[in-house]
Amino acid sequence: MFLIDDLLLAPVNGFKFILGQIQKMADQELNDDTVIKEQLLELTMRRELDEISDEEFQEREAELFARLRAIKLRQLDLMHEVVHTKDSSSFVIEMGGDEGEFYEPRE
Amino acid sequence: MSREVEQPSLEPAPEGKYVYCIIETDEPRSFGPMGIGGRGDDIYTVRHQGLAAVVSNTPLVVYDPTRENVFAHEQVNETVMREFTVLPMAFGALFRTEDDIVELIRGTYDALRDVLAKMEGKVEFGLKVNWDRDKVTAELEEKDDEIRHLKEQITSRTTGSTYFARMQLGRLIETALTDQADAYIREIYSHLRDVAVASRANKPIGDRMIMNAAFLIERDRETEFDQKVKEIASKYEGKLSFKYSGPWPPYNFVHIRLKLERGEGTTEAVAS
Repeated sequence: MFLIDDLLLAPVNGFKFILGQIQKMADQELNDDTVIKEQLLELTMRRELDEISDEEFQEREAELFARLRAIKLRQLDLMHEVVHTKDSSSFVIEMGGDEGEFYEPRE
Repeated sequence: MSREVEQPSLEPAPEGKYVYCIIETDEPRSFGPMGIGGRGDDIYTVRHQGLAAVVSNTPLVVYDPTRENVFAHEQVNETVMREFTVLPMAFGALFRTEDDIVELIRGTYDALRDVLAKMEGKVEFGLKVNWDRDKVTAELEEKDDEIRHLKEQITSRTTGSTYFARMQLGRLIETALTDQADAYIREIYSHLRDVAVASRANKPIGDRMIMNAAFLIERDRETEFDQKVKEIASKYEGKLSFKYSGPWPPYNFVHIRLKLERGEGTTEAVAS
């Protein structure tokens, strides 16, 4: 009986596993804002190159920001994070630039 | 442009301060009615012992870094930059009161002074270099013997699979393109290096761009840098297109970000 149960259930479990994996991937994509940020950069670029109109740009930009916002809302209690007070926050100075001051292209 | 964070309610959002940058000044200053949010809020200074935050009043709403909002943020920094060395804040820094800002300046006072001294008299220029990938590929197919030969083989073959030959051709072209791009990039950097203080190589955007860099320049060497960019651009006219912009505040070389003391989250540092 055990064996038969296992056999009968195997495809179901396998299917469940696959569904689980798909869900996991979908969640990752939903929560990954880097993809959206890259899309935003590309969009700006396309606007600068006059490939799309101002109207199209704004429409698409609004869409992307709506998705970004949804991600942020999921991730944090926004109001709490966004307004700073002397008790909640401190300044961090971040320096940028290439290592050794100057970019060394590879030979 | 901006939306309220909490569930929609009839009460207006409470007021706060938006911070654009930190400068050195002993005098209170005003920079005009161009605050973020489109209400025409005045840009003014919140000072503490020779340092000042450049701020405007704003309802406490979350500002998405839309082009319009980022433009407002940058426009203030660019205006202030005409007279001062600026340490730009990351986009979107909202504070409840002036007192909160003063306390934060006090907390990082020495470091802020140090960095301001380091950035004194320096500005940033952006340089994006694009190429026409298809055109370069076509050129390579003509010039590179190995590539040309393989291509001829593929097109002349009437029977049998060309799958592996095509794969190999694709790889050859990809490598040749990367080498060609690297050679251009090397030459551009070495041409500009003597007139710049520092550089920052950012990730190119899209597949036409081969270089996306920022350069930190002494203000009084601006014309020199300008000249050098023009030289290299005219050398590669028709092959590469140079998109050159500035002067900007040194966004790519320094910015101030806010760290939350409680909890592990930090605010986004949005570089432009």
